[in-house]
Amino acid sequence: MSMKLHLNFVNVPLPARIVSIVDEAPDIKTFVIRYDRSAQVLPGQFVMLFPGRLWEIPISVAWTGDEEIALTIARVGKVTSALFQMNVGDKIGVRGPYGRPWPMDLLRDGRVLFVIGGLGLAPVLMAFEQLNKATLVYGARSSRFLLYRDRYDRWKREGKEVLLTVDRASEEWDGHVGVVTTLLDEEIVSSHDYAVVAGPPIMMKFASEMLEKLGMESDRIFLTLENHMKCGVGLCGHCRVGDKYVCVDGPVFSLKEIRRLEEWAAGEVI
Amino acid sequence: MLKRLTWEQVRDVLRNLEGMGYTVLHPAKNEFGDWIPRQGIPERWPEDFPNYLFPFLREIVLPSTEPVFDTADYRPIFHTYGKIAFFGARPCDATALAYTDAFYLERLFRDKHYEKRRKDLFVISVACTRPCENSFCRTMGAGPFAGKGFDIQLYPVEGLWYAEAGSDAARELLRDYPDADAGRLEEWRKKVLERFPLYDRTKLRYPVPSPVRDFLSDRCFSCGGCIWLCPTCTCYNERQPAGLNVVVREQDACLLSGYHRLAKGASLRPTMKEMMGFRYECKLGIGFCTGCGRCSTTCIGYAAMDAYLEKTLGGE
Ligand SMILES: Cc1cc2nc3c(=O)[nH]c(=O)nc-3n(C[C@H](O)[C@H](O)[C@H](O)COP(=O)(O)OP(=O)(O)OC[C@H]3O[C@@H](n4cnc5c(N)ncnc54)[C@H](O)[C@@H]3O)c2cc1C
Ligand code: SF4
Ligand code: FES
Repeated sequence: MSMKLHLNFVNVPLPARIVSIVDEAPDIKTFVIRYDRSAQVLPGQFVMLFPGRLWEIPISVAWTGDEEIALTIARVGKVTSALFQMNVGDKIGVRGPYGRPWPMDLLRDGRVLFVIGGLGLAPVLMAFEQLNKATLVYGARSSRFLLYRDRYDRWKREGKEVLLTVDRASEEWDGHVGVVTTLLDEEIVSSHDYAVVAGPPIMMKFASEMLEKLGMESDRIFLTLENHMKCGVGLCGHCRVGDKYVCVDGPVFSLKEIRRLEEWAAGEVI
Repeated sequence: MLKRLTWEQVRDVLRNLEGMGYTVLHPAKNEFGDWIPRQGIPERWPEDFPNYLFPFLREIVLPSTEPVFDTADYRPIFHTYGKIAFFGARPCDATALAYTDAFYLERLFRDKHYEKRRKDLFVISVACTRPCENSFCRTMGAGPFAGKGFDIQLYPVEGLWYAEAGSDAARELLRDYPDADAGRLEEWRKKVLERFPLYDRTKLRYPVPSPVRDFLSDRCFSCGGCIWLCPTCTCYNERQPAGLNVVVREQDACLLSGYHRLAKGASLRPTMKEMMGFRYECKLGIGFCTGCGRCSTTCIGYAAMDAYLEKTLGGE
């Protein structure tokens, strides 16, 4: 089949190959995939992934290499379970990259506070590593669920601050215990110009509300939404919120934009 | 371009289209008395044709179910009906087509499956002269005449057929026919327009007042019928049906809970009220409703646009 024909169909995956699989945490693995469009990926974008059966799912690109993309995936349901049965060398379907990336030009201008929960580190990893003046406030269920641990020392050496917390402490953990918002205070917020928030929806809600309360304006807080997506290209309708389609108008939005969408969608008053 | 044709000349145009490789479809009654598109050149225009219950134009450009790629080699599968000249489309459905064109062809990504079938479709709409049951097309700006979405729009004026060209192909087909008097058509249009109800559009806008939304969501059975019949409902799912080596896309419905489901059984819109709100956002907020009235015709619960109209307009 010719590549040219393929490019014409935005809803058909391209064949790619798994080159390595890394265990990150219980039920979380990073799949490194050979994909010749890796150079097009911008921080915060996602791809549609097809494990050869069932259907496609959206997954954020954690990092890219030479013709390679890395995807960190939690096993939560049917398709992700099918992915976990795949091996190095297997063919896998990929489309993308898609979506509005993090506003890197803006973020490069200031000091950026990353407030991240669990798997939320995957969609911000590229952005965090590309910025010089950045602080990571990162929480996970327990220390075993802190992702990309082998990178933390390097980040610190680069002058980035890394603050970690876990919801439940295990024996070997001597760091902070508590949800990620317990690490936020006026001092840390006022010493940053922008905030990037990613993680489970409930965590993003509390973290962004707290950031705002502590003095960060809503157009300086950026989040990534994980709506139900089927196509990733603005055609299937599933990811719509208000009058925006998260897959093409997002997934990155400012808190201010999200507020507007919520108001639009609430539709209570006339 | 505005031309004047006799019925025989309209049939000549259809014959020309056949000569160009089009399958001509026209409204006809089947043996059970239901209107269906039938192949061939019609003998006469069926005066009593209101509209099809099923949105056939949508089905041609976006079939309710279609295979899209092969799971073994990721080869795109392209399903086509060939070239179709759809004679007798109603203006509301031509307008709906213009809406789906804008959605599928004029945004960030173009849908090639849609585009290929759309290119093969020639639409001849026929202006309405009487409102059909449950419709409010004039209020939505989609009838009794279409502003877009047709190649040719015909108006039955004083025993003749005035023909408005909406594409280059149509201009070419109609070139040699005599010009029609635009002023005369305007008069005719004004007269016809008076027969169509016009509701206060500001009241039909999103957001839906909450008491109305609550009323509608209490009555909705979540059958999905309105979505199946709506000419602008095109949301879809993609999945591999058990036992087949293809991924198909199939129409999905925002009034079914699966549409809003997230991993582990969580949902973005767990209640009927939220799902109903989502649908009205799309139809009235974004503005995809043409006022064709099909949802009201099919709704078993009195929870479609007729109920919405009555509840928002009150005694009007
Ligand atoms: C932009 C974006 C980026 C994402 N990045 C990652 C990532 O980097 N790593 C990761 O592990 N997960 C990520 N997700 C979530 C991931 O897509 C879901 O966990 C996955 O779709 C679940 O599929 P499943 O079949 O295993 O689960 P099931 O529960 O079997 O899925 C049921 C249905 O819901 C859909 N679905 C469920 N959850 C989601 C969801 N959150 N978003 C969209 N569709 C969903 C599935 O496609 C399926 O149709 C991302 C989601 C989005 C929208
Ligand atoms: S919502 Fe109802 S009236 Fe409006 S276009 Fe769809 S089927 Fe027709
Ligand atoms: S995922 Fe299909 S429209 Fe956004």
